[in-house]
Amino acid sequence: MSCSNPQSEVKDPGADIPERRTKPKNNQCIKCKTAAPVIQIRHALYCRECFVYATSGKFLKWFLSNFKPNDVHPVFYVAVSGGPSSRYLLQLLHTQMSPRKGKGSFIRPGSAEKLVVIYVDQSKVVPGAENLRNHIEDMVKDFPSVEIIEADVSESWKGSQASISAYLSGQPGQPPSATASEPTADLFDSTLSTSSQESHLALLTHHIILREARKHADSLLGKDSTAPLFLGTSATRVTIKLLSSMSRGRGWSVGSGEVQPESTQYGLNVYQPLLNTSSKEIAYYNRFAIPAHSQAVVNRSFTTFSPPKSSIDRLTEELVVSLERGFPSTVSTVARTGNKISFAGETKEGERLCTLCGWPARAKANEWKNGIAITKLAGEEDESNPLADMLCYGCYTNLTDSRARSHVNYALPGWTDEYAEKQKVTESEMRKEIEDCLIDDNDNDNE
Amino acid sequence: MSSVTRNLNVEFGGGLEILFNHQRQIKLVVSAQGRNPTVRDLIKKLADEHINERRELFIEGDTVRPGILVLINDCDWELRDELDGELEDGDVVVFISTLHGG
Repeated sequence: MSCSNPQSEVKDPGADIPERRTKPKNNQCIKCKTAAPVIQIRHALYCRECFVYATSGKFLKWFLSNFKPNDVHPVFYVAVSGGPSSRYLLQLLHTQMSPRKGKGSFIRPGSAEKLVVIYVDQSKVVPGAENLRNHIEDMVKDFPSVEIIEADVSESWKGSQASISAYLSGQPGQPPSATASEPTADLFDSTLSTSSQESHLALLTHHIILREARKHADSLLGKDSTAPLFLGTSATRVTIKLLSSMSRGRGWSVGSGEVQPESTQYGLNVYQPLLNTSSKEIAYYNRFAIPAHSQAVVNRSFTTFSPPKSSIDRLTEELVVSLERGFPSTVSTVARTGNKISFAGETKEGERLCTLCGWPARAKANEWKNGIAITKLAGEEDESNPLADMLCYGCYTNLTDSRARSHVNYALPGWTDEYAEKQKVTESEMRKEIEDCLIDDNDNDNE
Repeated sequence: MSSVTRNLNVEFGGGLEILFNHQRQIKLVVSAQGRNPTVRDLIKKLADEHINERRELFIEGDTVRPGILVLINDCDWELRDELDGELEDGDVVVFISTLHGG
């Protein structure tokens, strides 16, 4: 007799979600009160002109709350993938880059002398993806002063030190198994789940953006100088990110800056101004306000047009967009909740940063994992893995993906060496920490 | 009962063109017996005759999958009775995917 379990069949997350939308009572634009509406955003109706104006105005309001109208920054950094959100962000930043009319006869100067676009090419690791640099050049050709930095995600390992890589292969002291030119194949190995590969790609891309901006700022403005970096994460995307991060074991660090509108990373002021703008608003704005020749392009991911169950991110996306269809305030509610989450673990003993993602990590990720998951057969001893002392639970889980546990040797990107180095407490720092408890030799002599 | 036909211009964005042989625009004729063709008829025709594979990534039941926006003459279909919205000759119907990477 087969061990069938009819309950185990998992349906698409949004398949049976009932709808609870309200039909608008008015048939006029909520802004001008005269024109016929063409767009419904949540429960509000807009005509085309008012929608474009209101959407730009929302960004301007945010911008002026963070940047003074008369300030001219030497440089703005912006991460651009070529997709709809970053295209929309570019369009909005364009309005701030040139002198423009303020209130009365006041002419506001351009907010930055230069825009530096950072594009991370993923075409070497994502099947079917293309290099989109030409499209991005089309998008920014109207900017008064612009520079494009292109980085390749497969070159994250440049500068990687053998010591860390050797630890990660589980053989301390031995040379790393992967060479610096080909370890991406390990992180994107087909034995890893699509969820793990997606997670690695997002993590690498994020760090490359930060590091390229940091490197550029160091050379342009001087070491350790600060500069604004804009990311085009939309409300829909941050909702998906928030939920999928927690389901992948990243709940501990979720309040550290990933889902917040403003944070400091790598000494840069990182802004995510689109966290209250849904993908629907972005899609409509792009359609109405951006010329056809410089529209957003498709930046393929591992799950582009894949079935919902192909990865955790894709499944979460399906759930979120399904909920949003029936309950149009879902995304804004979850995204706003995410903004309010703050990290509460800084003062606890054993806190450290994950050497891979750089976010706070709880100590002993493997003990936690052994406590909540079946990681060994009966009679086997707990596996000791040096990875666990260096990584957060989310990264540790990704890298020790069950299907690949015994097959893949890992080499981590070069920045992990820096993170590990930074966390070593120097003798002088240790002395400073305990100096109140030390007895001065001179005091003894005097007595 | 006579057949009512509509000549339509259909556009795809946000990566949906991948499902439609990389065509961003197509012209097609939708017809219905004894009534004006609706968006429901158009979606069915697109799914039946213009997608070679992965049909389920465009259609769910008799409507489009969540995450796909529909504009009729640059007007949100939610304001035009969605599936039951009647189509006119020369209408431009746009399908935009808001799903990640396409």
